[in-house]
Amino acid sequence: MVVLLILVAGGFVNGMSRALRTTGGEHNVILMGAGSEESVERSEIEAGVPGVLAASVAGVRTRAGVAYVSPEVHVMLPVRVGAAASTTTQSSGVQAAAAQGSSTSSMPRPKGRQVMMRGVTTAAALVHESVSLTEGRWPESGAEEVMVGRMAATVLGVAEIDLQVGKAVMIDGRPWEVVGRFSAPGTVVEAEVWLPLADLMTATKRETISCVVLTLDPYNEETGEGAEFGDIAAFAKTRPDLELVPMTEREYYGKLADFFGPIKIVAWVTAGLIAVGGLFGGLNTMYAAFASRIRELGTLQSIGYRRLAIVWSMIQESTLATAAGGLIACAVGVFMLDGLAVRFSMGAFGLMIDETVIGLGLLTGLALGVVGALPPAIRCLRPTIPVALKAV
Amino acid sequence: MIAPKFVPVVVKQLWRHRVRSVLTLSGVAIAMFLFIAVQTLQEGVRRSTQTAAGDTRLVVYRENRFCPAASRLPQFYVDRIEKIPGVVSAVPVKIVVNNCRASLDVVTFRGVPREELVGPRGWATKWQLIAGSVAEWEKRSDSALVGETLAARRGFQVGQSFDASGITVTVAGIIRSPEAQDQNVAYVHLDFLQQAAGKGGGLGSVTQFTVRVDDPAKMEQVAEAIDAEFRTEADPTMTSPEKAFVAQAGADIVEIVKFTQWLGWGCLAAVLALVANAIVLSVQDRIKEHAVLQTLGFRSGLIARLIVSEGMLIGALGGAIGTGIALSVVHFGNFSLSQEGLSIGVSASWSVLVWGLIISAGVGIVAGLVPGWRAGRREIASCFRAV
Amino acid sequence: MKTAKTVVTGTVRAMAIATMLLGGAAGLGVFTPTAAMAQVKSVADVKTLLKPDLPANALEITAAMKSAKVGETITVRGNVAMSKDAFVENRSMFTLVDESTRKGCCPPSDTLPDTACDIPAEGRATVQIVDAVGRPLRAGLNGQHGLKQGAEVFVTGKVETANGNDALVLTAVSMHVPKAPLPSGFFVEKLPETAKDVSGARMAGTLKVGDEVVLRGRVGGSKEPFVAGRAVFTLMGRGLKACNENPDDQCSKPWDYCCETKEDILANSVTVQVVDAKGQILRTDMKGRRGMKELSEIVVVGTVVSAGGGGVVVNATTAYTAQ
Repeated sequence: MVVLLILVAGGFVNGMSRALRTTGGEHNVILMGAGSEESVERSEIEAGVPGVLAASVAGVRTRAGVAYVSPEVHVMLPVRVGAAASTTTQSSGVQAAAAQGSSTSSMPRPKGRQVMMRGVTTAAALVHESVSLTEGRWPESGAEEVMVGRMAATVLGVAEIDLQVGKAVMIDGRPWEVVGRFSAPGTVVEAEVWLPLADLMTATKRETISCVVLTLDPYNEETGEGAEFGDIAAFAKTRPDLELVPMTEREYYGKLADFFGPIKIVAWVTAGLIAVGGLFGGLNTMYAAFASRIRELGTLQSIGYRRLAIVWSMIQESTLATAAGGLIACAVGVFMLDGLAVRFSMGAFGLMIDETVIGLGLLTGLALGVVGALPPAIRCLRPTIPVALKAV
Repeated sequence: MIAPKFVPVVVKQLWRHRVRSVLTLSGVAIAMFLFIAVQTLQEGVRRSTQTAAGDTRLVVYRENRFCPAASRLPQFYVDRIEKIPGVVSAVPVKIVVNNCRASLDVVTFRGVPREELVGPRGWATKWQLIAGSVAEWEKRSDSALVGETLAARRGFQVGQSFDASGITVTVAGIIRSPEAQDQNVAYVHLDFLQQAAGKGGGLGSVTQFTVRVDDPAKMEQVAEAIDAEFRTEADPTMTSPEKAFVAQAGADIVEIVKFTQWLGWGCLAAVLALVANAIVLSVQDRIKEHAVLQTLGFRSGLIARLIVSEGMLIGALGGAIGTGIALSVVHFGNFSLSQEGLSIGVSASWSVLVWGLIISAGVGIVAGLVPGWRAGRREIASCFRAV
Repeated sequence: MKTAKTVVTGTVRAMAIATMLLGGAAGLGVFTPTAAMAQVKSVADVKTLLKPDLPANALEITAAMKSAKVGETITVRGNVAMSKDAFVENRSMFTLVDESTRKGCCPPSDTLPDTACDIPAEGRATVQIVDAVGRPLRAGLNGQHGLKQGAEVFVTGKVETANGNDALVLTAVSMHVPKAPLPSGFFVEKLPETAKDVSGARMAGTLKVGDEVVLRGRVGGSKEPFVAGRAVFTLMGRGLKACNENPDDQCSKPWDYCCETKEDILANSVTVQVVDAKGQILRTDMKGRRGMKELSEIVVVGTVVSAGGGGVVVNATTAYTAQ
């Protein structure tokens, strides 16, 4: 139980950290509005910035003449999943959702769950290499279409089937059709809903975008081609009127991981406290179990067994029990909990019970065995042999 | 349960096996610490999200938005809201928060008009100034009145400058408020925040309106009237009682806290197991002793009650220690969970303390019931024969 | 039992003593002067001396020549001599020169003189990298780690020889080799005349692309007015007060002018950059050079290359730092 709790806490912290720290391309730089470094949802920059960047900064990666520059809008909106589950035609799901979603003043106010919406252009597919379309197609602008990440269902608290291609979701009081699904394994992007940039800007009545994400070609010292983060920072410095703050994408998500630091500490502290509580219970039991064997231990000493050897055997006894429990817990953790989707604060990630967490769990089990046996064992060996032999 | 003259007997039983008692007490204390921590969370959520009968505050927000950065309402709406029957006052509020996600360390700025804060019926009249003054706040455009919880968490002092979300302010005062939301925010001048927040709407744009109604019974009616007024506007509104709004905007936190209820039950089960384990071990050691007591004339019922009292004492003592530590940590830790610029304070109260003691003692009693009953039913002769 | 107890006690004591000794050794290692830590054992360790950050307050060779005392640790800036003997063959030693003392123009790199005789002795220093016993490593440095004739190098080292006049030998503790050196003579010793305050120049509203300007200002305008690894920074005019000029101000970063609006900051600032022949910003730090830091008073001479969108950018050709 204790080891299982440690695995859960470790998997939670590990999963959250990894999801945030691996989100973000290695050569990606995100430019956002000054003062919004902690949260891109608050950022606003002029819609013309991507064009200025592409023209002014040498070293941005291109392919077939298309620059790896992705203008994006990030906003959290409540999303409701339509009750009409079946869709025989493309439009029927939308119509059913529209019928359900239309509200009059007498109907109870719809609630919905908040999910991260990202307005993108097709350049996003170039910049965010971890994203791959697994089903359907890219949404078209003006057609009220979206594509959803693999973990979006977890965030929305619905079944996967409710977000299949062809289903409808209610955003901003209007039905939008799911036309595609994407995956981005191990990143928080999987919990997002993507739609055309222009559509999201219209829906949120924005004239500004949240950020620009671009991919740099690695700098080659010999040829002088490519660019580094410093080049983007220098560009931002030469255009103070744009009020841009550049950051590597990994650094941005790393800061987000730090933001959740207190939550992780709470998770570890809780698991630790439960482990200590379990230890006290175990110590009690061990004291009683060993106390009833004082005479037996005295007998062993009298026939020549050294105390150290007896202590060692008691530790082995205790550790065997806890190790067995630890192994069972690890098996449960690996086969049942690893990858379990956890919804947390408008995002989702999978519990990550990797070798580090398993090692920690096993070590905890072993440590409990050792620590749980040592004090009772030492106490039971303290009486002299004659006293021990006379014990009841 | 037992006559007072037997209390020293019970205490002596615990004292005889000090190591066992200490271990059990420690385990119970830890479990109760977690249980009480969970209870304070639940209490915080209840206070922040359950509308009380006397509540009269509504929050007017942009429809379908919860993150303050996404909610932009024209400031001129305030005149039309104030004309709606039942509305006593409407205050435009600009909110800037460093991150909309749920966490323990979030800084929220609330920009309000000067006259709404310092007027004769202004918000400041309900606050207690722990340090600094409202007059200082009025002197500078970039000054802030910081809630007690936020100030304690970040170590802010009067006169100190700090920055968050790209906005730099100077602390003019530290306030204590009966409203949970006020404890964890920094109140600044509305126009300062509108300008400092830069592209986020700028002057003339606010995040929400805080509306006070004259009759709590008419809150829903007034809310619907406000939403009907702006239904066809470019920025329609969503109006709800303040606590209901917190419940919806902070749904993630509410869900997390609901989930911790299971942790709380688990802790109680752990207390039960720990105390029961200790009692069983203790009873096993004293089989002969109980037989002797019965021989001397102690009734089986009394022996059973002595054992149950032992359980109650361990539970109560461990519970007292755990509850005391939990409440101290909560009191001095100044924790609060924030999301979307709203915070749910985690605070200690006397009722939680009392309940904690009662529950831990109760669990101790339950843990001792079965061992006590079994010990009382044993035959004297078979007890003497036991090894 | 007594024997077992003695054995256990003895073991515990021994472990405790061993732990203390190890801890003490580690602790001593922590408090050992940096110079001892920097001794390298082999050529492969030379890269551990190289630091990515430009050290602040580096002295020019000529200044160091006069003030350095044997045994002290100083930081100097110079260029590797433009001569064939700049690097000692098969030894980790090279000559660092102060280009401002050069008599005549610098030679093209394919016709290097045999010796750096056009640099007087008071402008030349020797830098060596030694092993644990104090002998120069037996490997040449030419072409290694960015070191080549003409390369700008910042060396922090222990003074082995100094006569206060024309001899200076340093044992390197750390080095920084900028990816691109600033042009020789970029920093001038004399205050340029006719320097105009940035605020005044901006207010006049007459700055346009191509204008030759001499501007005076203070480094600031944001939390990070310098860009790491790039020769670009922001200069603020006196038309705005830095936060620490306001009474009772307790800003931790007064150079960000947070007390002013963003529009005012933009209207009272220029961005200064140092570019190469292709117009690319040089890949080197500015912070730390000649004591440059936030709120340092700087006079730059250069050309306006951009004056649109509310911001002005100047390509600086020389600069003077008011120390």
